Amino acid sequence: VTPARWVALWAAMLAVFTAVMLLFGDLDAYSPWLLGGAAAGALVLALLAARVEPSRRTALDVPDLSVAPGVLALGVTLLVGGTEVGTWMLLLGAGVALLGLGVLARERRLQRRAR
Amino acid sequence: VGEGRREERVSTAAPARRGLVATVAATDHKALGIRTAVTAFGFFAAGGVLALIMRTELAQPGLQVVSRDAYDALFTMHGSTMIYLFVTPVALALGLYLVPLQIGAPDLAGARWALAGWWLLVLGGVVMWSGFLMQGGGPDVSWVGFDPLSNAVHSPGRSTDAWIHGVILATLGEILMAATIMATLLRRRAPGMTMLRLPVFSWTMFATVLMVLFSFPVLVVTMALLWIDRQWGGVFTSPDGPVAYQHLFWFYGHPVVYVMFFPFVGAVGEVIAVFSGRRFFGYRAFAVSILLFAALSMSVWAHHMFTIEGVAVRYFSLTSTLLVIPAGIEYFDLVGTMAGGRVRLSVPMLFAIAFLVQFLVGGLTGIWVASPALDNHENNSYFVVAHFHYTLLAGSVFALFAGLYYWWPKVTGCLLREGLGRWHVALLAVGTNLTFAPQLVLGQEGMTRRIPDYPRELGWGALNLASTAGSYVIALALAVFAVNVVVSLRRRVPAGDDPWGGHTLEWATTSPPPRHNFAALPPVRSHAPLLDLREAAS
Repeated sequence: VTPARWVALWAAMLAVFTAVMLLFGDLDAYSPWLLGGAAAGALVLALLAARVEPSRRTALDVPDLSVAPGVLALGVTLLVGGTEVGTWMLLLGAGVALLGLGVLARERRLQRRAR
Repeated sequence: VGEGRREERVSTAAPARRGLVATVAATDHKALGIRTAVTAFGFFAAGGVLALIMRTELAQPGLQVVSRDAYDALFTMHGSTMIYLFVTPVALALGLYLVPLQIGAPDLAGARWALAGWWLLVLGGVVMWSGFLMQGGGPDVSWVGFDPLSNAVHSPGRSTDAWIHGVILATLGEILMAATIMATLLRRRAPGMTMLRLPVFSWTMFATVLMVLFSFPVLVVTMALLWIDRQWGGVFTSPDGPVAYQHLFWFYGHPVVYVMFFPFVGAVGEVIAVFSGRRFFGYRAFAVSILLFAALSMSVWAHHMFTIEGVAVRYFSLTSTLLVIPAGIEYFDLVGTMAGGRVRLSVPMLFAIAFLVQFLVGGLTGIWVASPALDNHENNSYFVVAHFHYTLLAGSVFALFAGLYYWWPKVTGCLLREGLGRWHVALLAVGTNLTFAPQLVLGQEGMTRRIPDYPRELGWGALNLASTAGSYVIALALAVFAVNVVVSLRRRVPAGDDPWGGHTLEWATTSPPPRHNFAALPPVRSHAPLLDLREAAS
């Protein structure tokens, strides 16, 4: 049984519990949407999983060291903090996040060349 | 393999690159797993200190150590640190390290995303804790941040906003880590490693990351909405706004309990199978039941809201009670694996057995809170505090230590000391029960959670003193573990590649494993390929 089918089985379980919830009747406005939404999301993941092929690559996909994720994460943190602190930090966060994306693009280009 | 040869293998397998950049920028899944675990244990120590301060305050009636406001900040940051920054990340750390090894993969799929996840976890933790530096002290909204307690009127000041931002960042990091584990399970399995040949631990990680991917984003959205509500209002301000907040929060808040539990059950499953010298009993039933367990765990969230009007009590009581079915199957499988085996009572196995007993207390006390009638009495009392600490500390942490002692030789190439380990398990068992058993009684007698003081005439002093003494015994047990780690790393006793006679693929490579994990893989014909080889050879 493929991974996609296991994810689909899980989605079906969530869908069954949503249906049982609906049978009970005395419901608030949020519960069916939350659980039903998770069931639908799991079904989407199952469909995606059905499309991906197992990777047989053994060579490095990424370099041993990568600074891009750290720069990007710092940019996101500054962006989030900027919503509280002010525009200057928002701009700084945006700049650092863009720098992180730039470093990521460079790393990927170097990696492609190395292959 | 002779001792000299073992020494050589350990030293040659050590990571080649060192230094700050290598420490924070390495994309190898093993480095990521270790880094995430070390980060989580750092936060565990910080959250543990907060717990000790709280228990010291509660040792006797009256306010002796902290003010009421400071106590509010202590329980907020203790709960937040343990859940957002320790147990969940350490569960994912085990997955980052072990899943690629167990499924025969050379690396993690999307390692950069997992690295970004670790960065977000660290930065989120720093932002969350930065509240203590702000005017008015730390956040005082508890780890759940219920509205209207957490709105701008009742919790003014920036520390609560910093807490919200910290939760958002750390949770985003955890989602990224979980996504890479899922991608690895989907795409990087070795030839022959079908889903029904996944090791038990990897199965539990599969269920864990499903829950992370479909419940954690709801927390991110909820926290963003709470922040918007605090700035401009209008989100949770309607009459049913606080109930809406609770639905959204608990849709994350209950699955996360299982995120903090499943990987450790998987670790215990591996330990029990190896130290019983038997193939895991009821493997297929376990695989299906863990998925059912995960689906049910997504369907029970409003049992945290039984005392609130308008909640579908009958449905959520039914699903909460149904949890006993997959839980029972797992217990049956774990005990069934031991039955008839040649049980070796080494430290990992002692922790695994202690987990079975301790978690049972957590599970059985769960019957009270799953029943709406009984929950009306227990709600918001110390009974609930004891219940979830029996599941999370007495359950998950015992199982975590079973896994740590078991996989430590694989990660470091050397053994933890058996004698110190036995002290560790004994002290932790004594400390845990001394801390939390009195709290069950205190809750029954009506002691409310989240209070820094209680009237002397109620006679709760002795039980609280016992509970406080227990918390210091837990701290002592953890200190013994820290000593064991230092001794193990400084006076290395080489472990060899497979000191326990492991069943799964991680034991087929060197300790610690090389950059791409395996020089060659054995054939995979079941969930215990190394046991297959040994059985075929004999």
